[in-house]
Amino acid sequence: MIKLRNIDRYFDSKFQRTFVLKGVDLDVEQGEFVSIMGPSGAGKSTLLNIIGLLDEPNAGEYYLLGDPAFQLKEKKKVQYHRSHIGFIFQAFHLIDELNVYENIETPLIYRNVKTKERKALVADLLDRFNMVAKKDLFPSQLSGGQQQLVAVARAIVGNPKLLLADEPTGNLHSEQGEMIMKLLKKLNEEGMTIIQVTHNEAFANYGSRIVKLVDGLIQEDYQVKK
Amino acid sequence: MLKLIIISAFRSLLKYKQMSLINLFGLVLGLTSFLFSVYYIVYEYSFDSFFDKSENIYRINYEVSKQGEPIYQGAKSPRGLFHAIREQIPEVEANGCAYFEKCQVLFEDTYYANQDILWVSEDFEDVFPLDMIAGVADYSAPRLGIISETAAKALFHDKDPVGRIMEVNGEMPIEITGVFKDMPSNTHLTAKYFVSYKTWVEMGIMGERGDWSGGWWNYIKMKKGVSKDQSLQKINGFVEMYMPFLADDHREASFSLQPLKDLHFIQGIDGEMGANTNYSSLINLIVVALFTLFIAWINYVNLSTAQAQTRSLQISMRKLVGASNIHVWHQSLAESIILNLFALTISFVIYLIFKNTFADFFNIPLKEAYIPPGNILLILLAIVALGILFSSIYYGIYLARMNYIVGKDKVKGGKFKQGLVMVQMALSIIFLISTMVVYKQISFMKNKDLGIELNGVILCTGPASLNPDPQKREKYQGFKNEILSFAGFESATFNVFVPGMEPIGYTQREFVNPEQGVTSGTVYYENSADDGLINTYKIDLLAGNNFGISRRQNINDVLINQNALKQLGFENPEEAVGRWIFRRGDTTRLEIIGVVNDFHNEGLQKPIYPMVWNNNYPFEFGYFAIRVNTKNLNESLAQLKSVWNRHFTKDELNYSFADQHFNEQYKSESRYSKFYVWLTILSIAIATIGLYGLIVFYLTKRDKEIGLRKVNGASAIQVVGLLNKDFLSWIIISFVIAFPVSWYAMNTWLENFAYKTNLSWWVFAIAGMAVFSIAVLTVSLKSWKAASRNPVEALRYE
Repeated sequence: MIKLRNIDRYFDSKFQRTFVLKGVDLDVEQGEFVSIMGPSGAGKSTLLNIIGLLDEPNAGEYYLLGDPAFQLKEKKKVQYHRSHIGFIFQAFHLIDELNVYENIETPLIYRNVKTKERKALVADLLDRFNMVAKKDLFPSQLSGGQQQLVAVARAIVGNPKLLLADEPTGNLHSEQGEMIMKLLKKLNEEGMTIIQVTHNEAFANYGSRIVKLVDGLIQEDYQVKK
Repeated sequence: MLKLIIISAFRSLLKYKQMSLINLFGLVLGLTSFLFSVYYIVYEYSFDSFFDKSENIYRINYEVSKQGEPIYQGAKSPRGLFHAIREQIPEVEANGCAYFEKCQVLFEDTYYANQDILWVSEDFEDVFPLDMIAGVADYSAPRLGIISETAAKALFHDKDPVGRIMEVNGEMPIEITGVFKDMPSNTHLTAKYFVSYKTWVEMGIMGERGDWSGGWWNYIKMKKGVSKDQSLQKINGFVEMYMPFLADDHREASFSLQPLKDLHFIQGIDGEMGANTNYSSLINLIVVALFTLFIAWINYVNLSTAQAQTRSLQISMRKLVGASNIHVWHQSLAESIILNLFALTISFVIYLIFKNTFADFFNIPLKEAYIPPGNILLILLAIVALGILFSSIYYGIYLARMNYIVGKDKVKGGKFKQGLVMVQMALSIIFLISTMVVYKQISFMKNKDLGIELNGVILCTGPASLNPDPQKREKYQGFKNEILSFAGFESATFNVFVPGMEPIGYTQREFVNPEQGVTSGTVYYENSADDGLINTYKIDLLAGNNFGISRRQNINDVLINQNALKQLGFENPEEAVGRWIFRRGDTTRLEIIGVVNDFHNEGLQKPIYPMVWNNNYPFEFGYFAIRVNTKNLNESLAQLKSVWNRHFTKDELNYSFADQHFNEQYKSESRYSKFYVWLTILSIAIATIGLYGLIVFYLTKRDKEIGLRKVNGASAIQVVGLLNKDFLSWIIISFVIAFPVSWYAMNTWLENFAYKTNLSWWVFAIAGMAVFSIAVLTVSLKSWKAASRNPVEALRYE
């Protein structure tokens, strides 16, 4: 599903070139749940951003769902974001002006899903995440865990093939974090490919595979023992 | 989708309340001032448009030149044209000619002097159909006329005017055939009475067919779809056909057509009627009004883009969940539309409430004007739509260019924003300088030495009831002798026209100096005066003598001014004294007994022209000009009133002060300058609001930096200085832009005046200082608060 070959990402300053990623090769198959780990500044988020088409590599090749994805036009990227990739972030990043229901509904609106179908899909998710009573609240009125729950709902409402999570539990206390991780695991079991970046060893183990990144290089890459 | 967009727009406007309010306030100020300007501009552009098919009506202007030199350019043309067009140009639907005169009207015991009467050809109503409320308009026979509703009430009181006879100038009994509804104030036809000119034909004053010498206003109404050029060609064909006499002294004539709606714009040609709007000032006003609005939109764009930086995360998120750039643009468009429509509604309510206050304040007869329905709102909506499009397209492009990566809100375009602030400031400075120069020119015109002294001169309208009285001169003399016996009165004279009044009608003549050999083509203005002329106006007598006190001493004596001296071909004043001149076409010898200095008989827009004074008592009622000692003015006025009432029992004393009367000519300039002052104040206010908004935004962005500087030992004053430095450098650049632009613009504007003030350096200095101080004050006040805050508050969440 994802094929990264010899990916470089660097920043040029006046006198030197600083590499964030250097020669990264990575393959992720459909249905995997990959946890990317590593110390601060190792390039975890950059790698995730490149996978999520939020950033472009300076060198190397990237194939997403079999298509070359390293030189996509802006318009094409929007298409991918609409239908193939869902995101969740450490800081939740919900749209402040919209309430829970509208936040979840928004991606569907941008994809021109019909009103009836939209209502059904959003209602389903609200039901499943136990958020029906909170559907009219605004993000600022929710706890962190609830906000992340909404963010997950928003990310998967369009039924993407790939879910990218950048430290989804970073701003949550452990109980909430666990709840989110269980949810992700369940989604993975239902067939969704997930890649997460995390600092937390325990949470990394919810996944099926761990990739350890140090100074822009993949140091370890192993399956989690069940 | 639409619902999402609208909901988001509303909520985000509410969320950033301070910015939204600043934006709204700026927009309301801009739109309101623009709305009032549009109201006035529409009024100016709707002149005479209430007449049916007004777009097909033209006035025929007339130009005579001699060997390529124009000697007459005017609105008046020969009456002969009327019959020629009527009989020979079938594509003209209707045509008419008219002559304007101030007359006295009488019904039973009620008199009115100086009434505006238009003497018109038959079928004049086919060109200018009036709204009749009683009777009909009929000019087909002598001694028929119509009267306006207001004039009818004043003259006939409760009686039905139709069928009754009013006496004009004591010699013409006119039967009223109809009453017309008062015309809207925006018409160039200011007459309250329309009377058949056949009255004069019947009296033998003029022939039935009319001659080809000029003096009348000719109007034509074209048939729909007919080219006016073709008809004009035919009209110009009449020159050869009927005016061969012109060729005798090498004169050439041509006609041109001026559209009806333009007739009230001052063209600077002779004999215009109701022309009182300076066209270039009107254009300036439109430009200034548009710029004021433009400044408001710059604010909007500036503040929105500034805000977009804080909102970049939100916008990125929308893109992440699938919004395209178009979607994001729609979002900004929605906010823009909501805010603008809201501002528009507030402005429109303000406009509806203060419409009449505005008209009174600027002294414009807007309440009585005809404003084509819907025009104002239409113009406004069109302009606002344009503004929304312009601001949201820029904003949209800006959003589209925003970095994709979440959390990184690095956005370019800061330079452009500074550029916009500079444009705003530059415009404000340009407005301020221009307004000051306009005021300087007006005060220059009001204070310039005119060559005569009008201060202390009272102008009384001559007694109308004396017009048919053969003893009127003797009665005037009796009045004059008595009033001058009082200590407060120094001198008095009669006049046909007085300074500040355009000489019209029979006072325009050509004079001939037989010894010069050639006939002059110059138009002279002949006025009447007695021996009081020189002392009343304090004119200098350069050579010769004043009129004698007794009338018999002065028969056929004239005084001339220097300009007339030159036109008549005399070398110097001494040479002219004792010489004879003639009115063109008249054999009466007129002896020049004295020459007076040139003075401004009209406003400084016009150059000085040749004038001749005779000693005949005014052929109608004219004016009495009296010099009074201004020390005990109230007492003197009371004396004047009682003496007047004793001598002229039938006429009320009707007076004005000569200097005020003269300054009436600057009414158009004064009105515009008042407009400019307000628009300047508003535009500076809007620009300041914009500056304030930007500072608020900058301070939020630099919150931490300020905190860090303070932690590291910077004082509040140092921080304020630092922030000022950033903003004020833009303002200094805006000076550099504004100064040459306003210098050039005002230099061009001053070209409109025959006599003008100079562009002093201090105007620029004051304007610069003013805007600079406002900016420093705004920046300092706002940044002081941020700078004096405890830095911990700013750094707490680090």
